[in-house]
Amino acid sequence: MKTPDHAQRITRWLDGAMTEAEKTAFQEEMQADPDLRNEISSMEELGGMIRNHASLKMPVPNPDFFNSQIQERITELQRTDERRKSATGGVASWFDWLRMPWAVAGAAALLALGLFMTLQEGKPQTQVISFYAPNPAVKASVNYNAAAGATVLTLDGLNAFPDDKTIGGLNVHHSDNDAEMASTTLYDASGKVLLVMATDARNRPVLMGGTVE
Amino acid sequence: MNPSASSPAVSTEGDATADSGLVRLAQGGDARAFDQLVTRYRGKVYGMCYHLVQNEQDAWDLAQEAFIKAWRALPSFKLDSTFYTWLYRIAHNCSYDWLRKRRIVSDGEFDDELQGTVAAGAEAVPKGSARPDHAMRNKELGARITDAIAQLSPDHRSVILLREVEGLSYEEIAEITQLQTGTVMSRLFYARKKLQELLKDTYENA
Repeated sequence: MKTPDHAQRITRWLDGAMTEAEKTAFQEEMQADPDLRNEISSMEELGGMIRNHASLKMPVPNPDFFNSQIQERITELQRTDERRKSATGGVASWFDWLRMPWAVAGAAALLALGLFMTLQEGKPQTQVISFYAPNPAVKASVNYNAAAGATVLTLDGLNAFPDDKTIGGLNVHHSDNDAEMASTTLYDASGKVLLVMATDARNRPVLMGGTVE
Repeated sequence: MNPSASSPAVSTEGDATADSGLVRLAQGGDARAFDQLVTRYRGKVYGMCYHLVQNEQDAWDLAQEAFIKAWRALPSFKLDSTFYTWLYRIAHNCSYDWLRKRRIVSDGEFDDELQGTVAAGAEAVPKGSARPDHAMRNKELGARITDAIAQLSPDHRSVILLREVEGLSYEEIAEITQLQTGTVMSRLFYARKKLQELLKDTYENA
């Protein structure tokens, strides 16, 4: 009857995993037990045969196709992730732009979020709350165009916007500041909440919520 | 050979340092870097899957699945083990899930004592011709050993291949198979005993 200890000791001998003291004791045991000695000898021979003649590595059928299939599936996964991000994080993706190398382009839209208009007795007035631009080389200016009835944000020094991205704007009618939450809520003309924003420790805009598609 | 020492599998496939560089690039989304890792390890991953499922088409599909799972899991891979050990574990899990679905392996802990034994001296593999030339003899011997390994249970097959062929340490095998090192040693013992019986006539004639 082979005990687990017996099995493990033989295995550890064959794999050279014994300490010097264990080896000495095991050698003495083998000298006293011819059956054990034969068993070990046979297993050592077996191990040599396996190592010399067996291989884990096997030629992959159609190896180029194997790789191309994986690359294709990876591309599809990446596309799916992109689509998921766009679908579930349409608003959040505005803020992801800030972390992209070409974020300056995205900053054009984000800068606008730092502005709001208030209407006082029908007379429009533009008030700048704050500016945030990842790239200080971008020069921003704001003015109210009475003919257009809109606040115009001008940005100089932007990089080209990537072709695969669409850019949109928000028609912000008015906003509220919540001092307790340190957040700003932007509304459209009908009073619908467009975005709720705050800033992080580095004064970067952080989206708290919104209804922008 | 000390099974706790670094395994030869690393040096045969490049080196762990080169792997980690490619892994970092792949973690950053570089699919071409991952493609290099696929090329480097596809033979062994496919081989491991094949040895476990014993079917070319399924092994091919499982190796694909293993690499795709590895790609998806790369962001969480902390490089606290070698890439190939981590990858083998994924391939091993994929193959075992496949085997479990077909009820080829047990769901619980493998009990060596419950496995059927092969009668001593059984002619499980054909005897070779009397006077083959050396290359032919080696080829035949290789085929007999492969056949004998194929007759082991998947549990025994994986440990014997990882230890004897890949030269992995007990700890690495335990990580891949998610077993205790004691169980790894025990399985190695019974796998060797069974191979000894299956190949008895082969090395008696050798």
